[in-house]
Amino acid sequence: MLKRQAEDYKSQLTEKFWLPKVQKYAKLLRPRLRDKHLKILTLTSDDNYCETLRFIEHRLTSKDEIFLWTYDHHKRMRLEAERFQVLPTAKYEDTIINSSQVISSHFPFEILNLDFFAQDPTTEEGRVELEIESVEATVRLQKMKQTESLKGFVTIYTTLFDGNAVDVGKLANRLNSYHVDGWAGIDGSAYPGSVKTMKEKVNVIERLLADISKKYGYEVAGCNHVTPTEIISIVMAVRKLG
Amino acid sequence: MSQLAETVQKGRPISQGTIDIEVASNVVSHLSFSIYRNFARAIRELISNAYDARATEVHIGLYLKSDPQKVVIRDNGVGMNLEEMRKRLFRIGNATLPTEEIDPVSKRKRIGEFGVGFLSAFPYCDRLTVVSKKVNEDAIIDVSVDTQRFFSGVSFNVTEFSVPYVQYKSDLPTKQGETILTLEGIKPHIVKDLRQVRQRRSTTSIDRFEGFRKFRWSICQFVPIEYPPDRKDLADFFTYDGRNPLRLWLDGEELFRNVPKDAQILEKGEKSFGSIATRYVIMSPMEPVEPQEARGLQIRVRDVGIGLPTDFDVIKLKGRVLGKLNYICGEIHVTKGLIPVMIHRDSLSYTQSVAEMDSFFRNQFTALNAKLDNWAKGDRTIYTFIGDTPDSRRSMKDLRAANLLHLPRNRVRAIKTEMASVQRVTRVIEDRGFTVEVEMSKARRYSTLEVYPEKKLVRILEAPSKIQTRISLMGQVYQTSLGEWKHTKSIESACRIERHKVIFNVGHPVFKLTRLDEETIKQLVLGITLLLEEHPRKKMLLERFYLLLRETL
Repeated sequence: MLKRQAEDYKSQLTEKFWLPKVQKYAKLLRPRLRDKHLKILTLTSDDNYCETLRFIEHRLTSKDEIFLWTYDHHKRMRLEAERFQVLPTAKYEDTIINSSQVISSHFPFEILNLDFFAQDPTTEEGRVELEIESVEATVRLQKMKQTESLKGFVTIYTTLFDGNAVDVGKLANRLNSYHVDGWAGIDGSAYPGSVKTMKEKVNVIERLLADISKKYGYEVAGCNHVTPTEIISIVMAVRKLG
Repeated sequence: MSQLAETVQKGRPISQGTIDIEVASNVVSHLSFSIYRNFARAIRELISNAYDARATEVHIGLYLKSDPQKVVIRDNGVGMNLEEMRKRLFRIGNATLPTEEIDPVSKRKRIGEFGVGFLSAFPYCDRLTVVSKKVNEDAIIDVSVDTQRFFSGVSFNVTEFSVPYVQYKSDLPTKQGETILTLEGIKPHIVKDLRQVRQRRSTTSIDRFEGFRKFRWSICQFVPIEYPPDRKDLADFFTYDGRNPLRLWLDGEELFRNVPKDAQILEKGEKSFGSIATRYVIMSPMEPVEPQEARGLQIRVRDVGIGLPTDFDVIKLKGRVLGKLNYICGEIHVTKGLIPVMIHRDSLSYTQSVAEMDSFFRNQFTALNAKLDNWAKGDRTIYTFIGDTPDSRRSMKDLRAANLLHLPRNRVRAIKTEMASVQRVTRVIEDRGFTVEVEMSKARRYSTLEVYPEKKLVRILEAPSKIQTRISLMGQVYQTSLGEWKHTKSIESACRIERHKVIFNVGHPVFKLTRLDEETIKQLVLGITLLLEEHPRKKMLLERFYLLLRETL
């Protein structure tokens, strides 16, 4: 994908979807504060972090509270020259599923902008399944590092829509392999075995994200999605139960 | 001499070979330490390299709390390939003759000439990583230098010293170039300096600044960045045609050159001295320039600051104390001629041209000091004339807008209680290029000034003098004048006696008693005040007497 197009998709998503939704859900997380000071993790490329700047402009966060994730060493250096805090350079999916000690020390976050589209995705089979698994690992880490002050968090999941089918049954089995006491597991039979169209994928991903949140003791406070050309972006806000 | 004769003279050779010239590692240490004794100046050298590499944007990120502490500098210049890195970066002392030629693309004059700028960062970090991609090439080269090796004190052959490099395929578009320097393991004393916090913030000297602020000030002072957006006048005057600007960000904040707030241009011009030509601007914020290190004129060669601003030792060499020298700042740009810059870029070699330049600016300083002194005297007369009346603030604003007042009131120490004559004020205003009309206004209580800048006219509305200039009481003659200051109901605040001079507070209610003429009121007030001074214990009695009198009248 050309860089120019990448910048365009992000600025459009930010203006029309991410910013208004994050503003809305920030009121749930920090109702009384004018400057919200939300701690943000965002997957990004080296020159494509416009959403963080807009969040700063709208007093949702400050530069010190933003952690960028990039998969490339040289991209990391470029971001560091602009005084961003950059987390280890590797594919997010690989790192989070292995729960590296270095990353876990930075958790929890209030906004998780898991923009896999910014990480130059390939179109190989099993990509979306791996991404959903990494979202599960992220929520697990959020739960493990849960603090008293953290009332909930917002997950923004963005991915490339391609022609590959998502094997939901296999994915449900993989998600169920992480055992949580009192959790019966995702009922694979309640989902279609495999999905391919945009509408089906959005529907399944939203249900899976809600199930993952419930698994770790969160209830869904709101969920929205947009599907511009070739992109699926879902914003889900969850809050702590009880 | 023939070859045979030469052999006979020197004798027959026994053996032949080559001797390796070894350079001790501490030569690098001496070079870097002695040239760049300050971290900000070391960074200046790295930014200058980016400037020469046609970069238009440089980003610097300081990570002083991370482990290891590091500084990352990225520019979007043309970058280097492996061969250029070998020839330019890792060939120490690869000097190039200074040239006046302007780069055809960036329209800039080359700064680097000694080939040692890269060494500048060596003393301040444990490891220096250079990542560079040349424009129109696809490879990115990653080189890492263990800078500590140069400071271990062990002698070794520099020619044998090697640094590992790795080449990758770059993710940047082919047309784009970049260089990223990472200074890892910043020395603890530099981190301590940069993180230094001051309880009391001071602006007087950079040594009293907090560490980061001092670093930022130094960078803004020396590197060839842009003037602040509100100083287009300076940018237009100094920027030669088509020069590509260099924008610099430090920790995400864009930096501009240091220009004191509200500095007015006192003089600007072009002047040649022997083989060199200069362009200069002398400015003043009309108060002492802060921090004090910014006082004097900043010499710039090829846009880079050479040392701190200088006053050319004018006080020592002229043998006079120039009181307003602290008010002066500005820049001198050497625009033509190859002026010899010392290797550390902190001073110029003392040539005939430099001596002529120094002498010229010493004379300018003397003349400008006299000009500022003269302005201060004139301003004092005007401030004294308009006094502290209710109209004075508006008058001051109008006068300042018309450039008839130069210095702020607190800088001229106007004597509030002294009246300046209309003649003196008229002379000052006429000297400043305005015509003056004097108008006696019976309805006015205070004299005031009205400014008409478009007509270049000042109208003095003179209030009639209600009080005699002298007053006699009990055989003693007092000089009198008017003033106005905060008063209480007490008669004590109605006048002030200074030896044989009495200043009446015209705002005091006693002067509003209409059944007595002003001469009588004046004598009454003076009489009571003298009695109060003489018999302080009878204050209650005298105050009572005054109150009764006031009620009666």
